[in-house]
Amino acid sequence: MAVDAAKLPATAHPAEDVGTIPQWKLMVRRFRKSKLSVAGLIMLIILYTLMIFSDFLAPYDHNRIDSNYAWAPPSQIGFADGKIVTYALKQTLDEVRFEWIYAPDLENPIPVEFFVQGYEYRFLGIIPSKLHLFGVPEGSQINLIGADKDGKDVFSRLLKGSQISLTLGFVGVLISVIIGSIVGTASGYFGGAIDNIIQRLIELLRSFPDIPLFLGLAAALPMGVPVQVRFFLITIIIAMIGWTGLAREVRAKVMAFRASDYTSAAIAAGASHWHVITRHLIPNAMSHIIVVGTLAIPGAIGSETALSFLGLGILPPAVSWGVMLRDAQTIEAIVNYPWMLLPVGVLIIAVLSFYLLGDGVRDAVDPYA
Amino acid sequence: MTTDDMLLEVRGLKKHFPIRTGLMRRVTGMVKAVDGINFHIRKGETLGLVGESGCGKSTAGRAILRLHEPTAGEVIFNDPVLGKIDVTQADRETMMKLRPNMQIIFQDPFTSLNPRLTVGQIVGEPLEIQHRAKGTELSDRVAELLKEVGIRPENMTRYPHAFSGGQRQRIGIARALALNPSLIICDEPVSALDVSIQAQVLNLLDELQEKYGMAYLFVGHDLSVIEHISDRVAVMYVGYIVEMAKTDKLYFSPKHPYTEALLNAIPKADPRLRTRPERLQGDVPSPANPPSGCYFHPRCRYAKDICSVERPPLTDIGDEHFVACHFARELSLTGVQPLSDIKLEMPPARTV
Amino acid sequence: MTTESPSINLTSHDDVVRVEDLKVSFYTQLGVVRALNGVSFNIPRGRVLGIVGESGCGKSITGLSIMQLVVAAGRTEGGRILFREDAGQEPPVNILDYGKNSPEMRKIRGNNISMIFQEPMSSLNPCYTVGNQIEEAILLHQTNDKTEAHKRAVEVLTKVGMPNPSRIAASYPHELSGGMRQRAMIAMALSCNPTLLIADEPTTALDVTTEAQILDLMRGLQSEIGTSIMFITHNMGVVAQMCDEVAVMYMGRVVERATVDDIFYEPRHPYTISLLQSIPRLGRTKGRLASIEGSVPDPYSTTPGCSFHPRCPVAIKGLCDTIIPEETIVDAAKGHTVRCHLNS
Repeated sequence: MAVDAAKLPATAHPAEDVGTIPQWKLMVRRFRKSKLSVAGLIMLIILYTLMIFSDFLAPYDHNRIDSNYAWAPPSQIGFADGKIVTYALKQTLDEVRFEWIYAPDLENPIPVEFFVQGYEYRFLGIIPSKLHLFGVPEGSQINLIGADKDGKDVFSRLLKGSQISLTLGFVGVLISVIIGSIVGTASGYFGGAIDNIIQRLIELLRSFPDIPLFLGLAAALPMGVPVQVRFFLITIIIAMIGWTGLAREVRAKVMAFRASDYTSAAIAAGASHWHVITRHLIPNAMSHIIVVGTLAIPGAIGSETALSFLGLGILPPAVSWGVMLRDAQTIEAIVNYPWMLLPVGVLIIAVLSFYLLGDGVRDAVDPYA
Repeated sequence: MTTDDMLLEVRGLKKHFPIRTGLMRRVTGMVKAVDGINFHIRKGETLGLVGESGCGKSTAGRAILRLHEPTAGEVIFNDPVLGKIDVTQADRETMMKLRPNMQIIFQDPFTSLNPRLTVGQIVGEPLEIQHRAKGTELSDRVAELLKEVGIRPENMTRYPHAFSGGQRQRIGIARALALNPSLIICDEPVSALDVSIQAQVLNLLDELQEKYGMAYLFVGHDLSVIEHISDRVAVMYVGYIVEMAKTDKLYFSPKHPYTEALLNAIPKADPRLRTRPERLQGDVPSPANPPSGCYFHPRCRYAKDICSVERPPLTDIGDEHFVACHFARELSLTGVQPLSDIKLEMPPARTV
Repeated sequence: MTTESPSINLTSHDDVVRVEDLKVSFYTQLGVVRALNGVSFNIPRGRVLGIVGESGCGKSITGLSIMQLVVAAGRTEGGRILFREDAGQEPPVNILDYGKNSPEMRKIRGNNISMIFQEPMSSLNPCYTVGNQIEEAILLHQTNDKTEAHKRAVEVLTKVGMPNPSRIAASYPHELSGGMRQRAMIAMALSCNPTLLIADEPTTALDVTTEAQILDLMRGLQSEIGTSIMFITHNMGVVAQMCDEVAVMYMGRVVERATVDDIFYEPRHPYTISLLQSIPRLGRTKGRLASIEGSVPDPYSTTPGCSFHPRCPVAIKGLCDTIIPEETIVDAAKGHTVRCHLNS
C-alpha cells in the first residue's frame, strides 16, 4: 500500500467532523451568517403566520359594510379601568367641505374583548370556527387602521387579502419552477434538436411583451367564475410567463453538470439517462432552482398586484392587496385617507423580504459566485 | 507475437467537433481534435499519450470510452467475456456489458466527485449501476476499495469537501477500480496535484497495476511523469500521433523532430544541465486550421519541400518504433541525456 | 553562471529586498489561517531568487505582501520588508510603513517593483490593446509624452522577442496565444525598468515548449538588464534552470535557503530532500518514487513544533514535535541556512 491507511491523518476538527456534514447543512450554516437574509426569512415567517391565522385575527368579515363608518380613521386605543379600550366615533359634518369629520369620543370608552365570537369562517379551509382574537360589542366598531369608503375594516381586509396575495405568487412560481425544471433539464441534457426546438419556443414566448400578454390573457378569463377558479387561472397565467426564464437557467446548469467529470464517470460505468438525471443533475441543480424560484416570487406577487390593480386579476368581492390598492388610487384617498395606502407598505415588506431571502440563499448555495 | 494479449486496438480514430456560427447554427468548420490515430495497448501495459494542450490527447481517451462519440475509426476492445468488439459500433446492451472493463480517472480532483454524495456513495455507484452489489455487501466492497487506495473506510460517510486533492484523487481511483476493469484511461491524473502528492498517486497506480494487472492509457503533458509510468509512449501533435515507441527508445533516441524539441524543452531538475538547446519557435497551430502537409513543418528545423505538401503516415521503422516523419530514418536527433547521479540522503535519524 | 556563485554575506547591504520575520494571517469565516509564520529571506541585487514550495505554503502571499496586494481579509501582523532602490541606499525603506493605497506605495508598485502572474489573461484588460496597456504604465511612471511612450512600448515588445512588435502593440489580448500574452505581460512589467520583478508561477499555465521559450527569455533579459527577480514556482526543474538562490517554503516558513547548487546537491532539510526525491526525473530508470507521506495539513490547524514533523521520516520525538527549530547557518560564506533540529 502506498500509504498505510491507519497512518492517514485523522479528521481535522476532532470535536466536529465537518466532513460528514452534507452540503445542504453547510449551506444552512452559511445562510445563517447573513443577518439581513435571516431577517427577511423571519419577516416572511411572520407574514405567512399572520396569513394562516388571518380569519382568527380579523375582527370583521372583509366585506362587512357599515356606512356609518365610511372613511373612518384608525380607532384610538387606550386604557381605562385596567382594560384595553377603544372609543366610539363622534361624527360632525364639515359644512364647508361637506365631509364627515370623525373624532374619538373620549368620554365613552368601549372595552375591547378578547377571544370573542364573530363571523363564521373555516380555519385552513377545513375547521369551522367563530372564534376571533378580539372584538368590540355590537353597535360599535373597531378599525385598527381605519375603514374604506363603505366602512369596511381595512385591517380585516389587509389580512384577508394576504391569503391571495401571498399564496398566488408562491403557487404561480411553484408551477413555473416545476415546468421550467422539467423543460430545462430535458433541453440541457439531451441537447441537439430537442434543445433547439425548446430554446426557439422559449425565445418566441419571451419576445411577447409581458404586460400586453398578461392583460390579454387576463381579459380572456371568464368573468362569472368563483374566486377559486379565477385564482387558479391567474396562477396559471403567472406560471406560463415565468417558466421560460427558469428553464433557461436550469438548462445552463444542467449542461454544465452533464459535462462534469462525475457525470462522465457514471456514464462510463453504464448509467442510464434516468440515473444520471436523478442522481447527478437534479440534486446539483436543486439549490440553484430554489434560488431562482425564491427570487422569482416577488415578481409574481407584483404581477398579481398589478393585474388586480388594473381590475383584471382578482375581482371584488374577493380581496387581495392589488384590489385594495385599486380603492386607494384616487388623489382624495391618498391625501385624506392615507391608511388606504398601507397595503403598499406591507407589499414592499413582503417583496423585500423575499429578495433578501433569495440573496442569502444564493450566497449560501454558491459562495464563490 | 500472438494477438491474444492485445487489449485495445485503435484504428483511424477521428473526433471532429463542428464549429457552428450564425443564427441557423450552420457548420462552418471542423475542429479536428483527433484526426486519425492508430495505436494499440496490450494487456497489463501502460501506454503514455503525451502532447501539449489542445493536441487532442484527452479527447482521444474519452472517444475510446464513447464519452465523446467518435467521428470515424475503430476501437477494438478485447473483452474477457465477449471477445473482440468494436466499441464504436456496439449497441446499448453491449456497451452496458463492455463498460465495466473500461474505466476512467480524471484530472481535476475537485470536479470529478459529485459534492452531494458521500464517499461511500461515490465509490459504490458503479457497483449499483451494474447491479453488482447491494446493502451490506455493497458497503463491504466499498470499504475494501477504499482501503485499497489508502483511504480509511470510516471515511465512507464523509463528503468530498472534507478531503485534500490527493485524497480525492484516491477516491476517484477507487471508483474506477470498483468494477475490476482491464483498462483504465488515466486522464492527466496527477497534473493538478502537488509534487509530493503526485509521487504518492503514481506509486499507487503502479502498485494497483502490479496487483490487478489492468492496462493504463496514461494521458499527460508532463514528460517526466509519462516516462516514469509508461512502458510505451505515443506523442501527439495537433490531433495526430507523430511518434510511438518503447519508453527508453523514445526518450533516448527520438526519431521525430517534435519529440526531440519536446524533450529539449523540459526544464531539467539539475542546475548543472543548464543548457540552452535550440528551442522550438512559434506556437502550436489551431486544430481548426492546421497547416498543410506535415502539421509540424512550419516549426521544424529539418523541414524540406515535401513536408509542406504530403502528410507522412505513421510507419514502423522497426522494433515497434512508429514515426510519422518523411526523414525518420535519416535524421539523427538528440534525446535525453542520462541524468548525472545526485545522491540525496536523509540525515540519519536521531533521538533526543 | 551555474557553478560559481559569488558568496553572499548574510548581512549584505546589497539586497534589493530583505524580508524579516513577516507574519500574515487571514481571518475567514471558518477560522484563522496563519499564512506566513515569520518568513525571512533576502533577494540579492541582480540575481534570481527562487521561492519554491507546494500549494498553500505561502509563496504567493509572500510575493503579494511585497507588493502590498494581499486581499483585505489578510492582515500583516509583524515583520519588515526592507527595500533598497539603489545599492547602498541607507536607510532602506520599510514597505510595510506605507499604506496599501498611499502615493508612495503606488509609486513603488509597477515602477520599482512589478509583478507577473500565472494567468496573463487575468492581468491584461481585454478592452485595450496590448500597446495601450504598456503605454499606460509608462505614462503613469516615466514620461508624459505619448509618442515617446508608444515608442518605448514597441521597444520593450521587441525586447521580449515579439516577432512583429508594432502589430502586437495594436492587438487585443484575446488575439494572442498564451505564450505571447505572457511575453506581453513581461514587456509590461519591464516597461518601467523595475528594480525587482516578482514572477508568480509565470510558466505554470504554459505548455512545455512555450515554457522553455519564456524561461529562456527571462534568463536572457535578466543577464542583459540585470533586474533582480523573485521567481515563485512549485517546479523544481524551473528552479534548477532559472534561479541563483533558492528559498524553500513549507507551511508559511522558509525551511531552507541556499544557492541553487547547494539546494540540489547538498540539501539539508528533510523536506527539501523529500521534495527532490519525489519528482520523477527524465532519464532515470523506473521504480518507486520516494514520496512524502500524508498531505499538507489543514490550513486552519496549527502544528506544534516543526511544521514538517508529522510527515518527516527522521523527526526526533520529543523535540521536533514541541520546539520550533531556529534558522541555523550551515555555510555562512554561501548563505546556506536551514530550519531543522537535525542540523543544529
